[in-house]
Amino acid sequence: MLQEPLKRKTHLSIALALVFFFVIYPLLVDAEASYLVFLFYTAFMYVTLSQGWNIAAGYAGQVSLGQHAFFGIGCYVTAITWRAGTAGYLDPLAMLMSGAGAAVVAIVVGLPLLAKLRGDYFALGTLGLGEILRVAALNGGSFTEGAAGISIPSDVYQSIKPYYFIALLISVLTMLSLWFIAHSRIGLALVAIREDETAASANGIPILRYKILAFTLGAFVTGLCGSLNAYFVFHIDTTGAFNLNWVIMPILMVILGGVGTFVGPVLGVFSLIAAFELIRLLTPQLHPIFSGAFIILVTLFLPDGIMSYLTGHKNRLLHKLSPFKWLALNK
Amino acid sequence: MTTFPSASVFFQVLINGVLLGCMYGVAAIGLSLIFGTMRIIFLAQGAVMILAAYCIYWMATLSPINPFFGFLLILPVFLGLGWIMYKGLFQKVAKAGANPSLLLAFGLMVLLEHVMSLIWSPTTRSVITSTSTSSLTLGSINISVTRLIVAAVALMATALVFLFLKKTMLGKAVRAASEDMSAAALLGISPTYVSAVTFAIGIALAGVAGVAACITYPFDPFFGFLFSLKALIAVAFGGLGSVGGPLVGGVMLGVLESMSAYTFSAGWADAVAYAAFLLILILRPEGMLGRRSIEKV
Amino acid sequence: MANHLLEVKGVNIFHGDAQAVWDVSFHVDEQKIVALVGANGAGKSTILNAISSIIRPSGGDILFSGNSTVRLKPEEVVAMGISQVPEGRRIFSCLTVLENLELGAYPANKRPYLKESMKRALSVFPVLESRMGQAAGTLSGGEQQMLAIARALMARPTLLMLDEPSLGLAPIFVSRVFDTIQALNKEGLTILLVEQNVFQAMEIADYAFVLQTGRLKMEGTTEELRGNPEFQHAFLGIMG
Repeated sequence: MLQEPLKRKTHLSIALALVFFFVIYPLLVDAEASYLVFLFYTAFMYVTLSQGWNIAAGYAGQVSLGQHAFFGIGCYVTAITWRAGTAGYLDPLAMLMSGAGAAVVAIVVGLPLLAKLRGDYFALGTLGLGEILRVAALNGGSFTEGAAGISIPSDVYQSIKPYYFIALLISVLTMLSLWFIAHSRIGLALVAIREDETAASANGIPILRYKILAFTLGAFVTGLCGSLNAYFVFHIDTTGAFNLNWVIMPILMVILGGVGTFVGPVLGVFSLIAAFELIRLLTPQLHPIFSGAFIILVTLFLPDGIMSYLTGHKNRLLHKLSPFKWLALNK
Repeated sequence: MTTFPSASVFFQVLINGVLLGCMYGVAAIGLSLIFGTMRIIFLAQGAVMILAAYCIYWMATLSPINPFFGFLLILPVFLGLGWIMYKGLFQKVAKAGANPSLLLAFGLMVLLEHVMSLIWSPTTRSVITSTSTSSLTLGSINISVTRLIVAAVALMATALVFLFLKKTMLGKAVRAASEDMSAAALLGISPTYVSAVTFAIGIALAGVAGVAACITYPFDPFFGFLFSLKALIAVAFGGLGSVGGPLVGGVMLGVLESMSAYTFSAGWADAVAYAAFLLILILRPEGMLGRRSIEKV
Repeated sequence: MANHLLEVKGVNIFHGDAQAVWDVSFHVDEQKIVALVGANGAGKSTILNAISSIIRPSGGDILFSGNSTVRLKPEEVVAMGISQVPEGRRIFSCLTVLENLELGAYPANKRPYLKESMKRALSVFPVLESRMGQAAGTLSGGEQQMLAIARALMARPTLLMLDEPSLGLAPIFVSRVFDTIQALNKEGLTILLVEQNVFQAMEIADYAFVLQTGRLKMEGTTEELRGNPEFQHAFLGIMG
């Protein structure tokens, strides 16, 4: 599964050193004034979102385009429960409920979609889900407060540090769960489903159950991120909560890093954020254009992801997922 | 929820829906053709439409040319643009698979949106035509002349594509390639050539749909994604990979939207469309009409 | 060397990281029927796809009338005169029978002969004539195989490669397909036949190459192979 030739112990020490660095960094600098601390916070969120997509799409081959639905659910569950007074500021219970809300929707919608649809159709179905929820929130009357959105009093904000550490914790827990899943029977089953669904089913793997598991787990962590985001922006409306960026950016990062790999998405997150920030610093006005151009350049010159470049292995997975693989063999 | 007070109101809403749907249909055919050979959802379809809209806006603002001539101008220009896009960007990436192609389409969408926003500013624009305010009256039903012309042009473009696919050798090769690319290659049909041709036609149809959109609706640089989604829904309604299917799907979507906008509210029209989209995906993933039945008609 | 129409020299082919064909060499002489036989997964189809330039071999060379084809595109190989009837027929089921046939003459250098080729194809398979306007998907399995062969003939090939033409056909169609192959060969067409149905293939072939897990195991005229105990044991014993 892991393609890099390094030994497992070295991996563990690198991972621990990185986590250690991220834990002490905001304590060493002036966190409130540090732009880097904010960028790291953003990066942790995206690591979670990316792996949340990667587990279903990369490992199990079920490409979802509806992650923004789960993010949005997370945002709204937190905003609504807080407004109602049931949840407090950065309330762990509210955050778990937000994740659970997303997970429940993932199960309810995932059951028919994952049972019936394959490939592109599943992707389109999940895209539809996100749009339906967005429109529903827009028309939700006093419950969602429509286009105006829900505002929460922002005077409770004191420091970025709690956000930073919660985002770090969520991303580390997500990475750990993914690692254990990938190295367990479940991981094998997911990969078997991705490689050949019919064969997996013939071998007695309960396909639907595993697909739902991967999809739901991804939705859960995405909902957690939505919740944290709600606490961070203090204002939840449909454009922010159900923004397509929440699905597109993670996909972009995973593909940049390496689909279906463990470390790849993390590299993808950090390099994409670094590249976009660099572009933004150099050309503040043109940066969205360069961001678009950057995506194009990556797909033209690094279509298999950074991991494949680092390890020298071609990431065959992209070809596997592609109905065009026949041509990939050609020339 | 409102019910229709009279038959004529019902027909009014129905006709508006059909006219709107023709525009979705054209964009959907482009999407469906590109999907046929490249097996990707071309997300930038809507951004390309808006690019055509700005070209017409420019032409109409800077010159006295009637925007309706835009159709004649956009068709060849966007055929060429599509060809260049395929040769320059997609040909290489298509070989790496569908995911990178999808990503490339997304990158192209972001790039186009922001380039347009830089050149023409993010302000909402609209194109006024000589027929903007005129309408035909049939009994108690009013039909906007602009929308009628737009629908007629949309149908003509569809007919042209249909004839190309049915009557020319290249068109037949495109159909063969979208059914089985490798079998087509074994007959000497170049996969890259048919893909480039299909892509060019898809972009040209997006251009036509864009002209249609800009003389009926106000638009801004980021309006296109919504159209990509609508075209996608139309394709899901009608079935992928054919010409008649997406057009019928577009009309169905148009009618559905206009009906639900009348009975519920404009805000819910989109939700109804998406919900129908999900239902159809689950119940009949090959499209309401199904691919086979279309091909035989 | 003189009249090897097709010569495959030391070809290695990979599917991803796995090697599927190992250093295989064989040749097809003009106006002969050559059979490439072996069990499922022996690499037969892979070799045909390499000859058709659908797959590029990572080593070795393929010569057609003395010219290397490995750097050519699939469409250029067809234009040179090599046509393949792929495994599973792969007709375009949404297109009509007529359209399927027309596309057989798609390459620019074949199109001027469209009418002539059509006449010839229909004389070989007269049954298709009454089905011309029908969607190809509505044909029976046997008719679809005829259409697939007729479609390949539309390109006026010098070398016709058939991949498992008997697969999934009723016995009556199997013998008809083999009769047709033999008749085409008598008219001067060179045939490279890939078959799992070794017994049938040996009936009509002049020469055969035996593949096993991607490697060439033996070769010989059909008489020689029939007399070879190892061959008998591996194939004819089971099949016959």
